[in-house]
Amino acid sequence: MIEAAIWWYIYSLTLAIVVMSLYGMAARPNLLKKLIMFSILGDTANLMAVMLGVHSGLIQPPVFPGISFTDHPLPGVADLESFARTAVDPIPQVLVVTAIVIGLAVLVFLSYVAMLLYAKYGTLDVREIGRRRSE
Amino acid sequence: MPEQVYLCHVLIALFMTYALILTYKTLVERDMLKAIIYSAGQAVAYTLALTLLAAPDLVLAYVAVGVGMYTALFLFVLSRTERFEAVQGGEAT
Repeated sequence: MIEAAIWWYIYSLTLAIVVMSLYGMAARPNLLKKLIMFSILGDTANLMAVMLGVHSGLIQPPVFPGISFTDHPLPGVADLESFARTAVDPIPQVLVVTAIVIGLAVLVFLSYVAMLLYAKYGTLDVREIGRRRSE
Repeated sequence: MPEQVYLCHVLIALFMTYALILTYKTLVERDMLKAIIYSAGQAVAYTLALTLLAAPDLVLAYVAVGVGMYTALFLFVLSRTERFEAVQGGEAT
């Protein structure tokens, strides 16, 4: 009961951050503020994907314990069962590692576009850019 | 049998609250330098949440990208452009 309430709280906070960053991207006129809110939105999406693999009772990293560089014994069935009962799902983590780096590349491109717009129009305000384009 | 409450999930809730407050301060801030610093603090909160979500490989990638590269990139854009955001709804300057 308490555990479920904690997860409801975490999910509602994540949803609130998503709504806030979408509002910042849509309603704020400054292009740099839009970029910051875009990065927050991407990171929140990644965090939600990682949260999908974590359930109540799964608290261990998805790395099998007891294996070192020099000693790598074959695990028994009981070891594997207890590991699978406590480790989180590794698939979202593997996907999110790629998504973080791709998000960085997209953000570098958008920052370059913003700097080009500032060099051409002399402002980052999108209303002012639209006004100066139509002149 | 009493239900087990994990401390790490309580701490995740704490860090997400911290991230929500910093996101709101980023949203309402007019000075873009302060907004970038607030978003870096929000990335720190996400890093701690990822640590408690049992994703150590993601922490290694995200602490370099989220705290380091994003902040450096935004500061570079800020050094080439203007610092203060125009007042919303008012006359654009």
